[in-house]
Amino acid sequence: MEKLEDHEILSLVHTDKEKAINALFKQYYNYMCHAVYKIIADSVTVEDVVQEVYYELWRKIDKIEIQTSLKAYLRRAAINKALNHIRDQKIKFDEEEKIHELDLVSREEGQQNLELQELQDVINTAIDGLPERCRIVFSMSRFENMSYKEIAQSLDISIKTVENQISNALKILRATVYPYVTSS
Amino acid sequence: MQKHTPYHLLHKKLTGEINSAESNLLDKLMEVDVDAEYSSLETELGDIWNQAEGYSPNVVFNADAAFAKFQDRIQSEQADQSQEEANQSQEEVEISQEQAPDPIKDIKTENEGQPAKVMRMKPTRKLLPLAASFLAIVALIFLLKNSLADNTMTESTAGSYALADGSTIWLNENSEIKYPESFKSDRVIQLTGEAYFKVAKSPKPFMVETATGIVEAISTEFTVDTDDKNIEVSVIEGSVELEFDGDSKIVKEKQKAFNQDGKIEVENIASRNVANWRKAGLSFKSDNLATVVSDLQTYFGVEIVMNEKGVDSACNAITSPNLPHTSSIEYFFDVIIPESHKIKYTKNVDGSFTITEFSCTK
Repeated sequence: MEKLEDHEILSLVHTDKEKAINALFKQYYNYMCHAVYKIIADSVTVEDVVQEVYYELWRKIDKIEIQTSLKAYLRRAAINKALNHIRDQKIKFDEEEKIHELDLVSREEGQQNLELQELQDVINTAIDGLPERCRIVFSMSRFENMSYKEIAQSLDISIKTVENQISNALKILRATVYPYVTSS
Repeated sequence: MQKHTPYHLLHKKLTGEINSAESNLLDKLMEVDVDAEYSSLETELGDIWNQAEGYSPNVVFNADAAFAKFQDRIQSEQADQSQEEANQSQEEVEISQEQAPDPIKDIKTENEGQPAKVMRMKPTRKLLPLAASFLAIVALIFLLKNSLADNTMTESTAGSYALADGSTIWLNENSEIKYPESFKSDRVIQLTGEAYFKVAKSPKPFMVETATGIVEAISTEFTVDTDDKNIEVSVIEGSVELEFDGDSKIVKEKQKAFNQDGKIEVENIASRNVANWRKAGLSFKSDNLATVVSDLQTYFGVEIVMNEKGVDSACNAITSPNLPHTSSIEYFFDVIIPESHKIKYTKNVDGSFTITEFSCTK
């Protein structure tokens, strides 16, 4: 199926709703999953969250007015659902995060002149290695541009906890990317 | 590296969120930083932060498989629904023989695929006929505003929603909010149903428009509950102004306001359970009875006494699915708990409960 424009999908809703949703799956499923995965690094949960967004869209698509692009709407809906999911899990964000020595000095050799692509690879690996709670808070800041206050409110945690988690995340990322500094 | 290394301050500087006090603190730390440790830290964190933006998870998702799963779900649901409809239409035929059907009745079919929910009515509050014309005008204004606003988000699923300004809205079941993705001047939220608002400080006024009245807030926490005739505003923190049918009143902390005979009445809040529903359901995972009881007390706002003798406090395997907002505590005791545990309780005259027997064995 070729890529359909928003207005084509929205007019398809009236004639063949299932086909319209199918088009939305083909065009945005991966995009939405990746956006959510940046925050929740668990494929099963991510797919459940996104599936739920499509299901809700199916139920209300005749009634809602989407004035942004469908892509932006779906992304926002998926992120909101993911954040609600995290809050419902009642994860204890304020417990002391144990940073293993192993995490901090994982690269022994001094690799001081990282090329840009290399740096990206190293960062990707480092982000993938973040503990769950660090990753959630860090990603909300980095990828959703949420302020400390917004993060605190949507997870129902204190700003102090957000500060701690951000600090931990950056500490781990830095130790992974620039190991030669911390090993001294 | 010292323990108080200001990672989060440097981070706030990167995101532009840093305030002047934090900025001063950071400057002071930098001044005493003889080894230039912080400035190299700042550079490195800057590089990491910028580069992290390009992060893309190395996972593949299968859209076709997901769509197949989706189809299964809606097909099984449609099968259930058509079965229900078949039963229903049979009943309707029988009724129509006796009386003519109301032609307006079934035009609005909300919540397709879901059982109909009963709308809460407030019998004590009566409405002036005048309000009807007021409604029409408000509706017109809404239509105009809707067509002008761009990037409006519409949400009708219960849950919490973060707004661009840092405010949060907790939406109840069977309710809907509309809000712009970003705020240009006034922060205007449109509400149908019930929601709890926690408003972030900003010079831009925060307004909740409903079909019945308008609530304006500065920096505060409050709930708004409406149907198409009534409005009730409860203020948890700060104060708000409620406009209704030409009347306007300031509602202060721990007060609630509602319309009665076309006017706004304000009274003090007696219940400590305003907006309890916003806690997204109630669920337990391997919890012990003390935790469960404490949560139930907060959630339902009732007192629960445990009879020491019959209660096995060593049993800590209470797990339950997410309880919908609309459940009662009796439902929890009578249906949820007995699935895995043995429980006996009594309801006392004063509304409190006593658990007389509890154990892990069914």
